[in-house]
Amino acid sequence: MTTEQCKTFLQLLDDYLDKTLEPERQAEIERHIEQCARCRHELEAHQRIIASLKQLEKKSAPVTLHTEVMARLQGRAASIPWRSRIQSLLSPRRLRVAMEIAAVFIVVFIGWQIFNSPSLQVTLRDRKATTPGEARYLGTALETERAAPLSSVPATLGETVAKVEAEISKDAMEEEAAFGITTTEPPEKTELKKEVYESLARQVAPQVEGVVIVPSTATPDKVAGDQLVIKEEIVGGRAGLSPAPLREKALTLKEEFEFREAPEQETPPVQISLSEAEAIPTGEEKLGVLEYHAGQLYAPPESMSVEEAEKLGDLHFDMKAKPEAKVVDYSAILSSEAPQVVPELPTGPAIARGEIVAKNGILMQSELPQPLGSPVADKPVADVDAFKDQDLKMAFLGRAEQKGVLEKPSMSSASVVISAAPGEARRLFGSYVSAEDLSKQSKAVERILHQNRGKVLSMKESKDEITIKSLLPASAYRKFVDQLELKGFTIKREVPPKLLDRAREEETDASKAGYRYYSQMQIRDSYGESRKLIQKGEPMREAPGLGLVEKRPGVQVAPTPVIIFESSISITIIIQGASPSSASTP
Amino acid sequence: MTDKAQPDVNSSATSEESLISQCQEGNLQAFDHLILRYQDMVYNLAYRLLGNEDDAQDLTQEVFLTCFRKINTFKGQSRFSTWLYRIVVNHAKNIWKYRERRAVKKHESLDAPVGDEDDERAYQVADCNPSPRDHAAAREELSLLKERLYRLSMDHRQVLLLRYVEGLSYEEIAEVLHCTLGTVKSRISRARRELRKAMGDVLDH
Repeated sequence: MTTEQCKTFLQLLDDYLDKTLEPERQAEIERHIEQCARCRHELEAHQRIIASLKQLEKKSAPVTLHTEVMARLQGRAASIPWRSRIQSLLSPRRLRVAMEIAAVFIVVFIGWQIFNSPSLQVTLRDRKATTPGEARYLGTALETERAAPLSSVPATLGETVAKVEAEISKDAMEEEAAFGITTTEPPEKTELKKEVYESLARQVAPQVEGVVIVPSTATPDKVAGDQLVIKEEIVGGRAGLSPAPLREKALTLKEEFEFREAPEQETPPVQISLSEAEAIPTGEEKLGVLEYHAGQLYAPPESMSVEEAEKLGDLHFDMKAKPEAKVVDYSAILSSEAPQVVPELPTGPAIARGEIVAKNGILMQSELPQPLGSPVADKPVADVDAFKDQDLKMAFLGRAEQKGVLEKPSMSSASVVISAAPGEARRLFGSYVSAEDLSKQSKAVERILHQNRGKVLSMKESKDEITIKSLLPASAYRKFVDQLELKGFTIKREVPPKLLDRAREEETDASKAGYRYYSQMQIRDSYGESRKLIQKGEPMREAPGLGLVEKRPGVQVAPTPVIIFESSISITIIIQGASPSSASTP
Repeated sequence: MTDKAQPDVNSSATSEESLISQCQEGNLQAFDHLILRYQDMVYNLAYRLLGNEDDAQDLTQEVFLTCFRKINTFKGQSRFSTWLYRIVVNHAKNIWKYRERRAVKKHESLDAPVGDEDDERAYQVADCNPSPRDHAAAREELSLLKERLYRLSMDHRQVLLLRYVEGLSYEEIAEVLHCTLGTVKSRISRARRELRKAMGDVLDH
């Protein structure tokens, strides 16, 4: 057998295809593929794929494309009045994008148009305090900015902007431009903006839970070349990221705009998975029907497509399996065996039937189980804590959610540790965080937690550390982390071991978005490694094992509080059968 | 028509560099030329990433608008095309994410010869009924590949397209995606293997 060689072949396949192997190695591979039909087939398959990719025909841009772009930059902008241009921003599609941006990156900027000038001061300070996270947010939100030729802009505005820009030095720009411009802003623009925001509030707010649409003057308009870049910020979000007095106002506003009843929407089945909890669909949606049989759960075919089910928690569905009745026994799933789908009706009559309903992105059990017949055990069927394998647990949870058998919406437990800095690093850097600071920070965490429908399970305080154990809906997880980051916390996330590979690959992408992925090992190692390097006087960014922190020297051991956010899911859910006491006669 | 206008910017001798610096001064004519130069490249990639013409057009427009807005941040440290690719992939990712979240339909590739249902059938037929490959089958293979490409994640599709369709080097891809060479290599490898797996019914007769 040539299994060793086959293994080598697979390892070197990439280099072989790239033709970057040393001659001897290359010859070795070639010898092997001559003998081994399987590897030869594999190589050919890859070569055919590459060849096919190269054969994809080239498309030419539509002829109108270039003129359309120019029109958007120039012609149309000049001929179409301000009003329509801004209104064109409100196309449903743009709105939806804006809405989702708002839902994912949550910031409340409260501008003076609504609250008058005093609040602006506060807002701005708050913004400065959260620069890193917020810069990211702005980067996203500002996708809505548009450029318009100065000629099409009301003369007074253009002049004003130019004047203010000239007056304000570069350093003070960020701070003062907003004031400068907004306070001298011509009334017609103020009015237009108001119109835009009102329109936004009408259209977006009902679709996003807790969104507050407020105008923001935080980013000044700018003159670039002969263009006025108008930053029509569609800024919305959840209250709580602004200082307290502003937050109260935001909350009042929130009540006005808050999503209450989901409008009918064509949203397809909600996809929830614990590793990607950022989708925040809203509304209530019936996903299907679920039946409970003695010892079995069965989702009639129309309730869930195989594809959808596969998307949730890595389950495998054997498409070619003969359609014969199979029994799903959850105890088998619990004992770490691959879950199986029941393609056909299980034996025995249905005991209960219920609906699977998704509400605001969380799959809820609705009226399940409604007893139909014979009583079943009053006890929980399964305790997910019995899982030893985290991945399997997640898969199971995903499936349980999908099946609608969770007693409660999935809650992921997050253990939040606020610590002054790792002990060693603190000694080295002499940094110190006062108890007052710590408790302030922990309050902030709590607040954000509450906003995300999470709750504190326990809180442990020690001299320089507060540990908050908490529960929060899986769907709010990403939001929660985002908000913490916006508050200036450093977030380290841990991912389950099997997701680590993927996480590592995503690290770079994640860093762009401001996340960091860590394995447990890395966290433990990083302190020791960084310490060594610090003692050697080497720059932080060279430290191995520091993950992405290495790109932001100093963050790891900064004297600011560090939050270690453990994302390892430890969820307790109970799957219940129909209770005999509530069983009605068939 | 625009090809012939503006003698100051249209000559083929006009270097990209000067074109860009004119754009940075806000010269719309120069930008016009820049668009003409790169629109096919951008559109082509956009189309391959998103799988339909409407989205590709939208994306291309957005890319150039962003390009114009941000052109002052282009400092010439990388090739302009690389910089542009980066805008494309970032925008495409956002659009895709949005679409995935909506999950209405993953793609409606105009190239795809069959719908999802038919495709499922094709799967099964291929598995139990191996048929000899011929020319038509090769064409079929290509169109299946186009369609299977959209089963990959955006990340994976991106690297495959950048590498094999756009012909970028690993280094260039690393620059476009803002990640390390190692990440690029492993991602390409993984993506290709995944595509190979997705093509299993076609390739493993």
